Amino acid sequence: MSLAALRARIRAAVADPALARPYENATARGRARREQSIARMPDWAEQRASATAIRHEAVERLDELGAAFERNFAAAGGCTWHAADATEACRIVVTILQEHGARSAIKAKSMATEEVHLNAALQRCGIDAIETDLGEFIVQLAGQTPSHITAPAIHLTRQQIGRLFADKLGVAYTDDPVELTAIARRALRQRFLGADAGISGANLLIAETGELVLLENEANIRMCLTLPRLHVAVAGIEKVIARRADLGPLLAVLPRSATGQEMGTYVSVVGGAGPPERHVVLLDGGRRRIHADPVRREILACIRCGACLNACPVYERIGGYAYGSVYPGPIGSLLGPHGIGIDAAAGAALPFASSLCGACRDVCPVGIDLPELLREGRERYVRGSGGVARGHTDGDGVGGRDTSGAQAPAAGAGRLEVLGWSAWAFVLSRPRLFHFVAGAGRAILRRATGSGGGTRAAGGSGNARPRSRLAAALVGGWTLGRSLPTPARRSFLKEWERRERAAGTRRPAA
Amino acid sequence: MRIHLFVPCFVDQLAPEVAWSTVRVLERLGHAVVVPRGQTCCGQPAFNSGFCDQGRAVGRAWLRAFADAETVVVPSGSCAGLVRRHYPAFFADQPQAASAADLAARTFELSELLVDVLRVEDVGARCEAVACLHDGCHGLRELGIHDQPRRLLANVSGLQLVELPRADLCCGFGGTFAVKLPELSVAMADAKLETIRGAQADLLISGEVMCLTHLDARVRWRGDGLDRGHLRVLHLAQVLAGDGGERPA
Amino acid sequence: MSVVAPGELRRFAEAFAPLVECGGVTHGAVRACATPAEAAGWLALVLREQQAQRVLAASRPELAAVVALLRRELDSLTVIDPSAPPSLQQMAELDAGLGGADLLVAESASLILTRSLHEPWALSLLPRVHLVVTEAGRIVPRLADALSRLPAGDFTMITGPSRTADVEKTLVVPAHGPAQLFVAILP
Repeated sequence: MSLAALRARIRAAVADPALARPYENATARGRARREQSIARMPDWAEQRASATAIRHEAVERLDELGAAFERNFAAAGGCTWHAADATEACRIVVTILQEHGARSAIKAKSMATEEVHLNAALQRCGIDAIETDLGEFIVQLAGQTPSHITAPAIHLTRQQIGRLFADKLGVAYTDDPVELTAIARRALRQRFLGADAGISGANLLIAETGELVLLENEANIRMCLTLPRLHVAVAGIEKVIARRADLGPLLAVLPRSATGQEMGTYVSVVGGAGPPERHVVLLDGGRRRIHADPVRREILACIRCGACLNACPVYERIGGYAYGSVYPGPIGSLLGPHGIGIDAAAGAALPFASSLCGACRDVCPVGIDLPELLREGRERYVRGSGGVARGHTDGDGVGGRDTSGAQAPAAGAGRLEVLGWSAWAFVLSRPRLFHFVAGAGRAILRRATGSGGGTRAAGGSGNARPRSRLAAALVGGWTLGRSLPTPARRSFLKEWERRERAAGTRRPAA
Repeated sequence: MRIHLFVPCFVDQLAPEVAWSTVRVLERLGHAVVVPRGQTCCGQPAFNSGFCDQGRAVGRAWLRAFADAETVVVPSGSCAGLVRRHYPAFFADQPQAASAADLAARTFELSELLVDVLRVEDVGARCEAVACLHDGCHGLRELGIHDQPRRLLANVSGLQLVELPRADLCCGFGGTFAVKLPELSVAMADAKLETIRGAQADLLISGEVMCLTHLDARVRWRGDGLDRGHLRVLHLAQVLAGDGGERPA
Repeated sequence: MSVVAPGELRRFAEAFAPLVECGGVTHGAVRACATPAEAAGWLALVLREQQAQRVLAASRPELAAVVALLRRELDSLTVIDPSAPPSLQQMAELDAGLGGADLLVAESASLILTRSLHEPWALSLLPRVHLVVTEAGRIVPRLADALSRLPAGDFTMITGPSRTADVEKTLVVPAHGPAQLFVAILP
């Protein structure tokens, strides 16, 4: 997806009046609950620092800890599988289910299974898999995908859910959340009891003990883990942590960051022994490529709490679908260019879907420097186009030569943009030239805004648009919804210089 | 103290009065303001757009211009933040590594220079208004500037400061973000303006000229004046200078 | 197990209270009981209020005294026979499950259950009402303390009744699991 395509998706989302309110309300509640739970906690900073250290250590030791997890999980009697990509992950899960004669499965909420589009694969193979998390159940019933990492049906109002249930489940319409929840409980009860297999993700994998850790509130995950005779978990390889003791800090920060709870209602820690018979599918799906890159590696520390989505002023405006990825929000914009949650070429421009305000970094419980990684992701996007090579300098370091060897996705900065920035740098690194060009630019814009230094145009679209094509080129997309600012008649720097010259010398120091 | 003033490019082109106000505030406190020739821009637009080589080219000119500065003041947390928090990394493998690290440590946004370095909280300004303050994202999150402008404004006589709900909400400017994804940038401005409308203030103050320019441009385009006539916007320096930032005759 | 400081029991109760509140309705309670008789009396009252007839109890030793007393008032109460575990359908038809807890975490009011033939997972999962009888000596201050004491093997940590906030982020109790959680803590 080029930046233009991303912009088109975002434009559509911003223009959709039905979207704004649900996301605004839901993210506001998410933020408030998180803040309240942290305010009640005396040692948030310490726990966050510990969680950060634990996750970053785990990512550094990924191969070693992954191997230890597999060894210990298998020693207890579980089976581990490796999936290089989504196709392989689906094939493995389907094979396990078919070999066990499983025709029906209950699914726990799992972003990894969303990432590999497991439900579609199961359906193609005639396996009846039903989502059991209320939000996922709603989204599956609606034929949609989750719009938020931890709150999948955040985009739907209670009225929409009420109509959906009335249509699909044949119940009387209600928009009362209590009744809607009760309807889902009744609809799923027998499915829990009769399913051949449970399918889940995993929040964490403990290397030391070979155990899976899963957090939830509804009890549906406990059912998926314990009621059927077969359990298959799909988990990204980066979910591993070194020790059981690491759960202390991680469980202190994860529920608080995700939902503002002191603790998830149910935390299940299960090893390979069973029963039921347990399988873990360890998904690469692009993670090893991230791991091989020391600059990007910290992305893998993410524990998918979703706090960065709730904090992001962009997510709040455009919602979960405009990103085009299974993983929306700031973390999704970091994963996307690496082909996680979206095709790599399609996800290449996602780092631009941010104002780099840094609110995500404030809330990240594992200390990921999201804005810096987004900024760096833009560099990669630009390089990917055959634009400018990293570290390539000539004289002032301005050039348009491509020495990057273009392992390029289809996207990237256009030739024209590269030229534009090179010209910009050429001018701005030459002060005299800059002041000359800037003076001319100001004159053009002042003419365009019709300001002889007097009153500014008062609203309305017509009189605030640039009047000349040259002026329009100077301001780009600015005037789509904004009046032109009126440039100053005189630059401060020029004026200061003139005054200094007039005084004959530098102003005396005090 | 000799203080070198960096005038960000957009301040120089769009709001030079902010630079004049900055000079006046510092001179009134008895400091000598030096305005190095040869300064243009810190390079942020290019850095944040993914064009680091171009950003570095401009940054090198900046480092040259401020080479002999002891203390640099910037009436923008965003530009100060770029120099302080990012220059060391951007120039880490460049011949300018030492000077970048050195200048990074000596560069301050205006309110932090006043409060944290010069230990001044009352500049003797006066401004009759019910005002609210918008925290620029980079000043807030990269430099930790939060209390400094509030302390300075608390001592401005006649000024009643109303705390904005979500004062730290991004206004949607975001540099080139504003023109690359204009529809989103504008939607974010509207969300920010909603919080300002609720505050019932008649003046919006910020340490960032571009946040103010962006919001002001949106208000003017909408033509609804936020229900209260035009929203008046002033940079912190203008309020502290107490003169609306008029250029001296 | 070490003797718990009295403050930990209070902390547990304080952390527990908000977990069972939802929209002005209370979904459980915690009570420190001086004797098994007091616990049995309280739980009998709870079961009557909950109109719970079909009740199955775990065969944990620390429950024995309370269960024996409770059976005098509620003849439909049965105890799990580890050699002939009940089917899922049987468990699903229960009104209440009476179980124990291996450890309790005071700071979050969490109950930690380890895998046991004497208390199948479904007992704390499928019935609408989950009753717990445990001992104050099993309370530890923080999760870290529990993690260092837990033996190897599967465990589940329960913090309040089943809940969801998936419809417009509005809290609803219950979702799929127990709607009520009552904890009797013996000395």
